[in-house]
Amino acid sequence: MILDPSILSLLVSSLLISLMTLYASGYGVQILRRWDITSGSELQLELERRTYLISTIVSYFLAFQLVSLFLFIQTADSICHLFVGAMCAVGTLTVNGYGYPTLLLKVVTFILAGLWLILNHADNQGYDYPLIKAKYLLLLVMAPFILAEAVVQGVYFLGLRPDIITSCCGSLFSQGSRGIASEILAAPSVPMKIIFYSSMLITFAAGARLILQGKGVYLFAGMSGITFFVSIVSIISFISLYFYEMPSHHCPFCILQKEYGYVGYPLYGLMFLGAVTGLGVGLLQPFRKKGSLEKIIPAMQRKLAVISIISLLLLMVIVTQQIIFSSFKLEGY
Amino acid sequence: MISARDISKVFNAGRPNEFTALHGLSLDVQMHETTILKGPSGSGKTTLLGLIGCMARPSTGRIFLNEREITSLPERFLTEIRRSTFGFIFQQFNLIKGISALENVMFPAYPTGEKFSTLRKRALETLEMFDLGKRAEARIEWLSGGEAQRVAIARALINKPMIIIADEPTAHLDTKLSHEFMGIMSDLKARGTTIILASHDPIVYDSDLADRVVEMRDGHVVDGGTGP
Repeated sequence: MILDPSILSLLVSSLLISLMTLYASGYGVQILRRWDITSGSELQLELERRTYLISTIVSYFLAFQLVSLFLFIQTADSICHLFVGAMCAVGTLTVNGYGYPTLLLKVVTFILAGLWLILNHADNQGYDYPLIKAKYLLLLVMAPFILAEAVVQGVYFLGLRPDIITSCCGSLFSQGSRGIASEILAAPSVPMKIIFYSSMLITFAAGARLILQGKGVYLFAGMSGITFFVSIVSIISFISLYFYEMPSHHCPFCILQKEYGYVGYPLYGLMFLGAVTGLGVGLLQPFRKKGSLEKIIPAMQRKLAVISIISLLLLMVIVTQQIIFSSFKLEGY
Repeated sequence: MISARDISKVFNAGRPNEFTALHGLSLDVQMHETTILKGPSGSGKTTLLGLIGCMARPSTGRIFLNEREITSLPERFLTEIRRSTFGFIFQQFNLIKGISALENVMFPAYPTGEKFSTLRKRALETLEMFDLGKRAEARIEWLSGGEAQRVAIARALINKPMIIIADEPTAHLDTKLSHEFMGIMSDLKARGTTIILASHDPIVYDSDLADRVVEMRDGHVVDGGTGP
């Protein structure tokens, strides 16, 4: 294991988040089985007293869970010089077989944690704990992912050895490589650009309809999810090329480096923010008729939709200005 | 109406010093009336007032305020109800020393965000109501017992509460001041304020002010709990 402050903080925070999630899940099971707001029993009053404290603590832990995705990527990027052959986070993540699974789990827990925070915020607006069961059910769904992430991340960091020879992003994200990346790279850029801009525009249109007319909630949420996926593929397929100004370098991680103005952080940040808030709009939809949230949820959905649209719009602006103003012309290759 | 149903309150539950202050009691308090909780020390009067006034939560049971269940409310909703519905007068007055009578009266209204000048005017008017206009800028420690009592009442009224809760309000007052206090309560009742007093002072529970006297002992209501 490499004793790096970021690695230690990721390990400690994952441990704390896992322990808190386990504790809250145990409490969640009790809530799901025994919660009865009409009862004045000792257990019910005890559950009511504790839920506020527990959900507040969990929300702080999960807020850090969101940050930890970026800290993990930044850490992988910052220690790449320790591994022979590594040029960016890609090399660090391929040092052993647990790097990418950790990243994937962090992406999943990021989205779930974001959705949980939205649900928790909505629940706190109601006076009668309207989403308490849904909130703890989501926490129970999330718990295995958080625990798995802590374990896989632990194994990954413990298995890091500075003398290991690893692969650089050039070999993994080049057109001669094998796997999903090569399939994405092989895709021609023009259709990918059309898909990217189309998904953005459809999402904006669905969002505008939702904000103005309150209709098409699931369409907007679905499009937010699709746009998230399309954006990730687009970064590998063509967006990154405009920042590197190289026709064969498709690495999704080098854009996080100083040489490229750390542009990867706003790109990914906006992408995740747009996805989580967009999906959150759909998540709240089944609860819009709950008595104490009847007026709150539609307003909250509009707010989330605005945040999502602004995030995706900014993402599109950053990408488009680079495509327009870069001296690099992809279609020439 | 305020309805308490099967209320119990256990302090230090599960510890060697566990103490049950209230044992599954039920109580109805009519609005615009004066209800007096009577009983010896340790009978649970203060605990019950605390629960009704949303300052604590029961261990079991529910309390309804105008048919809205309030014991399950999350803290931020409870705070709002406590601030807007109840005015508290404490046995020791609990005025803040080092600041003026006027500031003490204004204090509970600060979180409402009301414009300072409007609030100050209203606080002065409330103090005037109790003939304390000239003592508004005086520090609490400079006030006599009677003046401090009236400042405490003014403070309880600053948020225009529907219900006044007073816990042993005459415990530290002489007979004259106790009668003066009851006179002020009569005026408030005449204006439609609901009053709940806890006391074991005969000046309070034998007064004409009382519409209902609820007798408590050892955490139980022994007389006058529910029904008209």
